[in-house]
Amino acid sequence: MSSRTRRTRAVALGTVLVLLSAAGCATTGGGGSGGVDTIRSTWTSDPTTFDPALVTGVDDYRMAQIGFDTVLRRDDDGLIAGIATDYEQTDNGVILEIGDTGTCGDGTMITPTIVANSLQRLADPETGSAIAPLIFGGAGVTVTADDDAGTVEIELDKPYSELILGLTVPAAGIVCPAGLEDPEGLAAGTVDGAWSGPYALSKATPGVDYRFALNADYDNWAEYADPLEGRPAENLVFTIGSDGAIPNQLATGELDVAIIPYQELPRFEDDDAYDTEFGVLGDYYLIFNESQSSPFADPALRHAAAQVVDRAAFREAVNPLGDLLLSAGDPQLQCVNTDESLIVPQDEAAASEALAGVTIRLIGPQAIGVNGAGITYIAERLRAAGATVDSQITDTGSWISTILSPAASGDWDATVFASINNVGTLANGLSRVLGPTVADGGRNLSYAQNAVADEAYAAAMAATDDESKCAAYADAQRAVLEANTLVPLSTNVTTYVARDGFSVRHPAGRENLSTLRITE
Amino acid sequence: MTAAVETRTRTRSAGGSGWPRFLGQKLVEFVVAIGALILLTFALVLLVPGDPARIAAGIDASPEQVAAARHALGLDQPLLAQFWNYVVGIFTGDLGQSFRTGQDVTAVIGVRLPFTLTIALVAIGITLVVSVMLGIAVAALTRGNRNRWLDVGFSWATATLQTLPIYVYGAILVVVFAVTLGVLPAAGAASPASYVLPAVALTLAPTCSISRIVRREASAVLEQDYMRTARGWRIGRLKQHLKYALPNLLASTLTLSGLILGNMLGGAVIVERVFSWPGLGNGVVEAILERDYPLIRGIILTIGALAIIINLVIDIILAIVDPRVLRSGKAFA
Repeated sequence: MSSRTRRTRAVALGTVLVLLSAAGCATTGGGGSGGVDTIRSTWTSDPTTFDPALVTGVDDYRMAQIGFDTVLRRDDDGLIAGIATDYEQTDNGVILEIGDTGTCGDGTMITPTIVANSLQRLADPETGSAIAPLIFGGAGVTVTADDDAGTVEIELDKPYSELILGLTVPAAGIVCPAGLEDPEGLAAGTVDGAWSGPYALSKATPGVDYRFALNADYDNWAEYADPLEGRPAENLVFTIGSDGAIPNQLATGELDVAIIPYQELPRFEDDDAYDTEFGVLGDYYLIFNESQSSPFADPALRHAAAQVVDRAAFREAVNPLGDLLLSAGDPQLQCVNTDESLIVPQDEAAASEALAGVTIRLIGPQAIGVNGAGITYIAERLRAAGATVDSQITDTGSWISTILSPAASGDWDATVFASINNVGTLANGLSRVLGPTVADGGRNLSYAQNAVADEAYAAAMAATDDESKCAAYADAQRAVLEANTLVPLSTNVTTYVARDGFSVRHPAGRENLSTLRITE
Repeated sequence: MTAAVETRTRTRSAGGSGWPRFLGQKLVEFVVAIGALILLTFALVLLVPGDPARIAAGIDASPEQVAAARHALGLDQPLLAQFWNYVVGIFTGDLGQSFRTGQDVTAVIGVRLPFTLTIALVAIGITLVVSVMLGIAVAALTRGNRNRWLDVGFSWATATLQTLPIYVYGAILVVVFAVTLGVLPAAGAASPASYVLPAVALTLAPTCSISRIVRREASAVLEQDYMRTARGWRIGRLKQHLKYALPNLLASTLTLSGLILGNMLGGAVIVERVFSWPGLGNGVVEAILERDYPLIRGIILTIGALAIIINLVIDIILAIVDPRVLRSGKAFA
């Protein structure tokens, strides 16, 4: 054999081996066999910030869940300890008992002063947190620490009964002193000592992936009533994935845990090699514009429109895995309405008498069902009742701009509202149809003026115990539903699939990536 | 012989004097195209509905926070001031910050561009090599009406495959090689093997198109007298085709390849979505969904500039390969 022939064969053999080994690498990765220390998952897009106070998008919240511990946590049956071991509700706030297990990314012990400074910054309007008013209620906030007593006291200028639930939101995650001293570095995720949660960002490649490493000193894991099985991963890798590719990547073992579109569920649900977990991401409602430019200023037309909506059919159109709603919040929320009689029964004949010939401008985002199937459903039901419907299925940005802009209040009559209830409170949904309108700087986009509902809502906010809070909330929900300002539809559900050997949990029905575990 | 020498001399003479004019013309075209691209990318995003300040601030933001976001993003400035800042930014390497993440657009493009360039270059290389070889081979094997089945089969297969959309290829490749056989990754860019399926998906249609052109051109070249002479001298087949046939196919192949390869950049956008490839194509789709104006502008500007540069380079190569281009300024002179 000549040297040229040998060289050629060697090159060919080498090429084949490289290709085969490359192919092999691609399908085993970090999650394939024993000794696994990494969990590979996905995010929809790049986080907009690594500062928990400034989170806006869903993936921002996911980042905050693993990077920053909250003072309290949610479990299926109520609240459990976080950085705080206990709490006491006061007339205008809460007193938190801070434990001694919280640790910052640089090894600093988390003290009451550290907690107070972080929460005070979150509440400070200068910080620019969009979520802070939903946590603290929007009035003045004073946070004081007593390191000797091991307590932190939050005092609100105006009572807000959702404060304690608000403190469990990832946006209320505690930022350690190193992060507070360097806000730009905190937002960029480059301050190692800023993290108070189990993981810290180890490498960010925008558009590609985000890698987190376990804080070796961390010892403040949630103690859920039903303990998590398995062990936390040393590393978490979140690639920026697309819906179309993720199910295939799960099937080929390139990912360990990921959210899939519900349409892909049949590929995994009957396969023992995969576990599924569902969580509430948000809710869908039909909200009417009650300003004078809209026909829905007329209560009779709102009632008629509610009569044509079949919530179950809507759910089939957008996500059959969702729950039917009975209020402005999902069934897992505290104080949510359970009285089905408050839902307007279907009566197409009666609705047709009122709606025939009425022109309705319906708007909603493309994201509600495939290509806005949820909006199409509502539009067709209204058309079937004789209304002339101008249906606008837009991108999310255009939709938000229209419904939240007072200047555009005359451009729409009804919207299918997609709420991402990251806060997990009833106030999050109700405040979209109660209280100050968007024209007055509030959250109420329906322009409804409902004195009964407003009064009951204020009473719920001022309540100091769960019983009176839920009683007041019941009155507020009844007033809103009877006025047909809002028609509850169904929940928006995320579907997590975990390969054999991995798991994720949704405590209290809500996504929480700090529960990711290796179970093999 | 004398006539041939005279022709070659005229060509060289014309070619030599034609270069400054040719390069000047191409430079003007390049500047006009880049100028139009800058104007278009600025105007394009203004036509898109929706308030980016509201989107950047989030659905829960107060009116004050939205106003602050608008100011921070420079959207409260007059349109001309925004355009001036945009143009100055381009020439100073500052394409602004992403509305969503606050990251430098130049840095984001710097991360994503290598992914797109790598896959595009791999696909271009595969396309040119495979299509030229395939086209010549089929032309040689079917010369003189031989192997009729091959002729029909090649025509049918390439005609069918070139009409299939890229996302159909993508889905089929994933189902077969990733999900069913499990030999290649389904998506992402985690390993060298991740390049295979996206590159193949991007390559298939252009390979079919170009191989059909090469085959037709090669059939004509193989019937030329000099090829008959080469066969008469019993020169080896491989040498015949590579040394004598291939150079005569180059001009037409390169011209059409330039057009097709420009389109491949568009195809890369779809391929990147199908395979979750972290390149510019995927980035621009995400930026459009998020109304991230600076990122949309930056990426479209980059992709557009790449297409313009590719075409310029191919024009220059063509002028080198075929000096007749210098006289007409066009391919196939």
